[in-house]
Amino acid sequence: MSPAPVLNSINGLRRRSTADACSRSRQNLFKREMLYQAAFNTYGPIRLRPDHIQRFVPFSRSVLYFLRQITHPSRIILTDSGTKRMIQVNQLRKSFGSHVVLQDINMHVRRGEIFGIVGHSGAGKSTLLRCLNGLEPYDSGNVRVMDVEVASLDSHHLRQLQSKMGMIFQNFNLMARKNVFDNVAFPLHLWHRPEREKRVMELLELVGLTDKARQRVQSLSGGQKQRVGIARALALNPSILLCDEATSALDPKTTSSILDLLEDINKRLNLTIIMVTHQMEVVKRLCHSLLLLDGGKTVALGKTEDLFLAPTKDMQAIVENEFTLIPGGTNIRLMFPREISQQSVITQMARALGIDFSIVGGKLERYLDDVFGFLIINVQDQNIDAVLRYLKEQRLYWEILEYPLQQATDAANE
Amino acid sequence: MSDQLSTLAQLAQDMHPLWERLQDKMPEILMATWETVQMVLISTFFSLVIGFMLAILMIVTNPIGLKPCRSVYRIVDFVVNLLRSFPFIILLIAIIPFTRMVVGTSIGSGAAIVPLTIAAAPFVARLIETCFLEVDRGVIEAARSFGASNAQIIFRVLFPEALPSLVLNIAVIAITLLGYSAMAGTVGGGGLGDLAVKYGYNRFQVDIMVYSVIILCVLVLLIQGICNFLYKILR
Repeated sequence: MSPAPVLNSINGLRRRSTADACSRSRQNLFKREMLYQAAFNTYGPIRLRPDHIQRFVPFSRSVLYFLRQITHPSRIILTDSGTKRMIQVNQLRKSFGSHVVLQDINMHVRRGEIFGIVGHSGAGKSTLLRCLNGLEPYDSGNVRVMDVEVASLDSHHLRQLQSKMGMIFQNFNLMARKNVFDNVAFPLHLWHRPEREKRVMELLELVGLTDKARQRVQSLSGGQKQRVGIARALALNPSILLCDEATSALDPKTTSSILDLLEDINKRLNLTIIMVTHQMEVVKRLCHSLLLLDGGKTVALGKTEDLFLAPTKDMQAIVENEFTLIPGGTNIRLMFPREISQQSVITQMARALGIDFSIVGGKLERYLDDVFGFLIINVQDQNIDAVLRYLKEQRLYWEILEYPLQQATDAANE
Repeated sequence: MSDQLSTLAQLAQDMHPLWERLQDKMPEILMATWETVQMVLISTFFSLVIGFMLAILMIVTNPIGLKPCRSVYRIVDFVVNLLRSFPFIILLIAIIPFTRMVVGTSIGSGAAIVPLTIAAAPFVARLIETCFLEVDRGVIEAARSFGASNAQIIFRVLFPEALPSLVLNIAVIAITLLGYSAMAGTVGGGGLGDLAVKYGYNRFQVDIMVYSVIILCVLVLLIQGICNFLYKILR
């Protein structure tokens, strides 16, 4: 049904009631409740958009409303507001006591995007994720989810917003005593949704666990447990899926299959996914954009491709520690976009310039659907100008790597 | 066949005057056993009810709980600790006026239920609180992330998840109450403890005391057995 007429009449009552005397507003409250009742009887559950619920906050504080909600929890179903910006965070600050865990966090996530929040453990990424769905309160700044400011919601409306945001966890957090079916059905039970049986089987089919429906969770492997977790998170048809280190407890092969599943869900359901992880390969593989955190501060924010092809100094400090550089000479990092990665650039350069250089290391990586490669070479100081000139002519992405201080002192000591 | 049996019984009777006494006291022993069972069952039930409510209050107001409230938690915590540190035999006598107020008398197994319940309730509260605290925090967080209310978390997450260990703890409580009920017998509480003291101690009929001890042992084994069985099913 379209809630507009009902909502308008309800809101009209509210507007008048604020101006009215206390006794009048109480009467109106009752009227409003009657309207709700009538609407429910006629149309079934009222579907509210997230930005609507804010208008109902004062209303909801009435005991009457609260009692009604208990007797009819299915009466209001939050629907998607259709907004483009699913999540918008401005100047977020959060601290535990005197310890600041997050500061000056700005980010936004578009609909259908896979957004990565990356950093070492203790960087505040899980806390940031919990601020998004209201599991953690924040000190200052704004967190708007589907155009609703999370901090402005009372507990009842926060719960409704949370029902639109699924969450999966590193340790799966399934109920050990229940079987797969009951675990997936759990959120449906909480929200008194009808047709549980059908919905659960649908979800199990989506994650490929139909045959395991009646098995105990304990008997499943890690990857299967995470699939159950994903099915459970999707049970209430959320618009946003939050993944808290979802693949950190899994082996590489299982990780890959879970990532495939998430990618598939993202495409099929146009689900917005926010991934918290410390695994760079996960980010490169899946995330469209990312936020790199260190010590609660933003180190980098932007498109995954751009950030990894041209990392800033701060980002390098966190991301790059895979190769030990050779002391002496100049270390150059070459990056190959897809069109170039197939050509044998390096050997051509050696032949064209007639110089020698050593190869420190290199890798081909998959970013989303593209393959990018990079190679670190070490060039003798007398050849450096020729090499750089050649690289410029070839239009390759390159950068000179600074020799890390720690390694330099180590080398000097030897 | 029946002749042979009756001669055997005759023989036993002749050889053991104890056998005669057992036959003689059988109804009394059975009655005492029934009283004990009654006391334990009823006081376990009431202490579970009170203890459960206290445990919920503690788990909700716990500093790491669902709705932290330090002052309430401290008060409940203090009361629980205080009541638990009371030796039962003293509690039994100390609350006689209260017992009289509740059941109208301070003698008999009915009256013993009151101090038994009061002694066990804080114990139960502590055990249930521990069971609840042992539930994986992650599962609670997962439930919260789907928008579960605090009541839903208690009754749909904490309670079902803690049920197996709750059952084991109920065995601990029932067995403790069995011991306490025997203690209550010494001050006129009725039941097996009363029987053992009355005949075994005051009249030097050691055999009656041995019988009551054997029955108590069987009851303990029975309680533990049933709870272990339930635990296996529920786990």
